[in-house]
Amino acid sequence: MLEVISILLALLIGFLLVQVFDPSRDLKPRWAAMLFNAALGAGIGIGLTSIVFLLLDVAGLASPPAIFSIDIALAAGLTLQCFRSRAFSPERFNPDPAKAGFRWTWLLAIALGVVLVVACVRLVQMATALPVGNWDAWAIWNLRAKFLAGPGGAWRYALSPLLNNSHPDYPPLLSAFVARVWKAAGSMDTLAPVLTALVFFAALIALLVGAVALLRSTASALLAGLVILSTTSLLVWAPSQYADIPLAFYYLGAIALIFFCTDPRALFFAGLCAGLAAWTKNEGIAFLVCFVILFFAFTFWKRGTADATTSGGWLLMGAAPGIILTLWFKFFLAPVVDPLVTQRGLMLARLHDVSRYTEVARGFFDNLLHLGSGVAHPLVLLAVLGILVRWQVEERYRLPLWIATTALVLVFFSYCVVYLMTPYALAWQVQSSFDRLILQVWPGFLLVFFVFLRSVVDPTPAVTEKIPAARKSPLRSSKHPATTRVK
Amino acid sequence: MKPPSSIQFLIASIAVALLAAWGTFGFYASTEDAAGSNADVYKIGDQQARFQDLVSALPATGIIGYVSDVPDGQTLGAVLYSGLQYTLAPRLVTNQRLVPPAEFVIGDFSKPLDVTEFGKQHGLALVKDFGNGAVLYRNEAR
Repeated sequence: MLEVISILLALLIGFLLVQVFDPSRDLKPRWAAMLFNAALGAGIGIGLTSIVFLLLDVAGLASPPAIFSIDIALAAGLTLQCFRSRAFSPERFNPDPAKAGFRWTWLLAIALGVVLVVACVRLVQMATALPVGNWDAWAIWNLRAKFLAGPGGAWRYALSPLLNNSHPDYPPLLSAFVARVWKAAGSMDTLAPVLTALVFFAALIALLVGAVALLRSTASALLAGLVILSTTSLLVWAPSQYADIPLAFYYLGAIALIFFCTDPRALFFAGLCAGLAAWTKNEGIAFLVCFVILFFAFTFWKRGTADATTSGGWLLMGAAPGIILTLWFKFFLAPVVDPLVTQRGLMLARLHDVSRYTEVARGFFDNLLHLGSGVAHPLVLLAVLGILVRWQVEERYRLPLWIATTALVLVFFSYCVVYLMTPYALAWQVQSSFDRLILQVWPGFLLVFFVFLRSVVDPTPAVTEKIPAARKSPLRSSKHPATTRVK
Repeated sequence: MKPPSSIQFLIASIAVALLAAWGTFGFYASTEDAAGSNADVYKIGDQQARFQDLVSALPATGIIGYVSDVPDGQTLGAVLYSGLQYTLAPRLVTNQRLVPPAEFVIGDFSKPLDVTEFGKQHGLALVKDFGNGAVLYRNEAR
């Protein structure tokens, strides 16, 4: 029970923090903004409370009273701030003004509901059947969580070079969060990592659906939900308790928020997500570097120095906690055991081996094929949408599209370079991890796809353009062609 | 280019909805094993049960040595070793030679053997054989 309370407190803190600043405040529909904020808040709450716990742990102050006191103080302070900033004021929850919709949205909503229920039932069954998670969960993430939650100075074992097979240098967001819940509850029940994995999965789906609804339309968002849920490899990995889905969540959060770039608060949260990605997994460091540099470069190119400095400043400010903590972790806490760091000369020599390129390319296509199954493969669904719905890029999304697309491609390219240089057996490494690397960028790619795709709304009849003119002249004869047609 | 019609949107929506439902039901059907009693392919749950009594004989934290009849280069050896690391955490289990050596060493055996003799060969004195391949040694070198 205490595990559930501890997780709920983290989610509440994140939600309240996002709600105070409300990065999607000017966007409609409000249900989508609330969904987006709640999902974003879940990930940010988990990330920030994991940081607070690790600092407490290293300082020797981590205890159930300390964890709950800080959580309750944060939640209370943020609730107060929410009411002061009128984040919960009734006018913010007014029904949305009528806007273009799609008359078959209900059909998509039912389909998404059915698919979601079926997927969730199976995920809960899988998580219950294997509460310790898959290999990396118990051999890396939860093993380290047990050390961090252990008595006395046991947290040091999470960073011991004696754990050379368990990657003690991996960033600790997931382990620290599970450890925080365990420490707060006073037991190491598998419920904590199981719930954490399911929360991240749910937040990932909600974040994508919310973002697409805000940027395009409700029907487009429901289609995005259906496509991501047809990604069966995502469903298979969701209850595994690996860090890849949390990482995918932070990538998606960072990318989605730059589309709201008229608001500096959105850029701050985009930076925060990118920083938390670096705090989640080594791949996140590559994402953080690419994302920040590309943001500066493209904003400078398209909007000039002043805009690049201001917007980039907000982004960097948000990323600062992740950057500082990751540097501290990598340079002062974690042992240097990663072969990419210790065997640089040999690594570069492997780049000359052409057969490795072929193997990586084959691994990519094999794993891309295994994202889904048969005719229900998500790429088939995207092809159907691309052919029938077609493309329409709004001018305001061009810059974020440049940044997001290039960042995702570059990050994925960096993964491929690491495969080319890896000292481990390449076939084994490709086979055991490539599908998860694709999943890390997949939700971000889907968001970019749906922003490129035309909004799924009922086409507006040309005649409706004449309505305002008709309304301007109430005295106009009812025999006026425009008015007659509207009737 | 002419924008798509309502019918095109409807066809796309129905196609995506049906295909996604097909895929999800396919996923449900294909993951029967992963949701059943055979989900724990590495038998980590069994490992926890096997070492349940031994855990109570160990200090709450500290570094514990590890020996096994299966080399950790083999898949079974890696499963036994990593599984035991997880089971005994927050104690740190290591198969590496330490100076000074760890006081307690766990013996994790895949088949019946003379555990006393095995311990002697490795400079270890038997503390207790908990059965089922779970053995506690004390390091004689300390």
